[in-house]
Amino acid sequence: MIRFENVGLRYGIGPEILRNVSFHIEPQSFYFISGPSGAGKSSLLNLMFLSMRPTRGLVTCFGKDMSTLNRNELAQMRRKIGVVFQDFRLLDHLTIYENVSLPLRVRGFPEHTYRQDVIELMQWVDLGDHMHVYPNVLSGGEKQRTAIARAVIGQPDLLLADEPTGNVDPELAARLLRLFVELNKMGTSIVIATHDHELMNQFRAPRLMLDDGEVYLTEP
Amino acid sequence: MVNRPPNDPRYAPLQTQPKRPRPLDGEQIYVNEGQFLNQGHYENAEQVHHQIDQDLNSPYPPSQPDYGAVQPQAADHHGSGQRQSQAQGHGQAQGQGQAQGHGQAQGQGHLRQEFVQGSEYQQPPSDQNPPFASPQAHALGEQVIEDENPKSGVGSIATFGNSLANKNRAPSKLSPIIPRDSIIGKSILFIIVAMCFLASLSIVFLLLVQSSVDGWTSDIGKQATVQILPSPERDVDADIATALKIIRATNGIALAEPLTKNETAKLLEPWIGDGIIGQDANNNDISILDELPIPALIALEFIAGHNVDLNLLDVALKSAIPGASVDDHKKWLSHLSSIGNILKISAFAVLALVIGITITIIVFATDAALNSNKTSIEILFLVGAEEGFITKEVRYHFLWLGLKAGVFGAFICIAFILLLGLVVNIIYAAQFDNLAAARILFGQVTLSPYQYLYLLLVPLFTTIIAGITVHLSARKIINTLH
Repeated sequence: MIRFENVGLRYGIGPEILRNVSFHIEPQSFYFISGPSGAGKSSLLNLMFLSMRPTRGLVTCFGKDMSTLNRNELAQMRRKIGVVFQDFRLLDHLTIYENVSLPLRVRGFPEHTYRQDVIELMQWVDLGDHMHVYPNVLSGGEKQRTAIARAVIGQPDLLLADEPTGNVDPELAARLLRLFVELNKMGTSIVIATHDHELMNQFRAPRLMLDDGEVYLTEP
Repeated sequence: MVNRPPNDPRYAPLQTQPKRPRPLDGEQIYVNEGQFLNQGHYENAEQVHHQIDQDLNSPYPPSQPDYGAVQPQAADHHGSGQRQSQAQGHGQAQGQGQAQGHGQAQGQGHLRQEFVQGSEYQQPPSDQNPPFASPQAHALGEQVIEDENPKSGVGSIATFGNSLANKNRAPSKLSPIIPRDSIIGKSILFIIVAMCFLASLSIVFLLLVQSSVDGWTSDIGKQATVQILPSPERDVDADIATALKIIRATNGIALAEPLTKNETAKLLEPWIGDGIIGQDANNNDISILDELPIPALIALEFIAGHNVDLNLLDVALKSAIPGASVDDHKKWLSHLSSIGNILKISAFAVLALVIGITITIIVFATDAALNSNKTSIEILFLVGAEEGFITKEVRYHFLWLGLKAGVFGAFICIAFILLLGLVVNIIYAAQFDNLAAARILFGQVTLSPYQYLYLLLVPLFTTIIAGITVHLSARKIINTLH
């Protein structure tokens, strides 16, 4: 699905943030990405989400070399990947329903074609009663679930989550993890970047550990 | 070729030796660089999900009879029968118990139940079944209701993608992706409206100046005056009659009218005061006009489009009447033309300056407004919007903003001009007896219908400038995202 081969990344003329990174995310797999702060988790996620290009190495996404794709092809590729940001990145002037349906809207689907899907998904994440409210009145957990719903509404092949439990209490973190696991059961590959060891200990999944710009695989 | 010291660490390869990471929880597996760390980690999806279920068995609360308290609700709603039959079929295929009687509420799954009952959540006994009873991969869109305990009402989440009737109503009209009525948007609208008003006013100023100067030159250019100096040896009335004959014999003269005593007295009034003509109480003529050496005047008006040879007329008059001459106002015309040109150049300069400032402000305001929506653009980018979609969204928004501001500015200007014209007419009517002459001399604040069309250029240019600016600015932001 996504394959990194000896990938390196540096910002400007600074030191390499990521070095010789090689791994492969298979379909329907589940991974944690972890490491100390500043180890490059977000940079790695950005590379996986195709919003950055590596300084060196090869990133292959769904069988295509990322460096050969033009902007629109990258956008098409990005639609196969859902992302849950640590800071949610919701649009405050749109309702929860509109935020969740945004990925379908930008693909040019008429609203009536996805309305029921969005409603069902929102009920699934228990936001059915919050469809017409705006993000600024939601709690952190509700925003997180909105962000997750937005990430999965396009039925992505891969879901990337950056510190999805960073703003919620442990109980809700556990529930969000179950949500990801359920999505994984439905066929979506899940990659969660976190430094929450408790969260990772709750679920046996391989971990891609970042250390000093390099990635190592560890078994739980 | 650069000679490098052999042991200088600065020139060492990035990583020549495998490095062991810091020990973390559990045993770690290190794989050398260049090798896929997790290649072959999972053999297939079934293994993955089996492992997931096993993993979740211990730390996670499984579904239990009273765990998901949502009761079946969908018995009466549209499509429930179909769902039940499919669920039943699936359950039979998998051999996982019954799924009959479960509606959509069940289909929404136990995850929903967890969120619903968040505060009442309790750790169930560890020997309960895990919530994810089926290890099979659920393809999106597949309708599956599986639950080992029918009493629980807990189903699977796999109903997503299969729309059924829902009591919740989605909004009928979606909000614009780029917010239209933000505070900064309103401020920018106000600024652009103000600049469009000033630009429109400059155009009106130029048009009025041009109209006035043209009026002066054309009115004076199509008139002339014949002057006959008084002489004690000659009969003035006879000379006037002779002059009129010569004048009327000339081509291109539309009107030749000698000024009456009253008209002559009115011309002299500003310099020597009134009372130079009149009658006393007994109706005796007490005029002193005849006693003054005042020349007789004949006003001429030319037929429009005819080029009258005034030099020939002057020669003819002088040969017939000594002391007669033609004054074609060339001297005045030359002065007025100079003043008119200066005014027109000034008006153009003001217009150019205002337009330049307006363009600059529109560019900066649009750029600032777009940057205030940078987050929206970033999110559009992140959810997979193509570049064309993003630029179209922002372009539409700001084209509309520019058009609206331009139209507002132009219409405010038109209203202002109409009001000003009304006030000026009232002032003229109060101050001058000859309103038409006052309008010619001092100008008038009115535009002809076709002159109003010039003001339509303002919203047009504002829209074009806003469109070009927003397109370039959006491209700039998108470039930074790449």
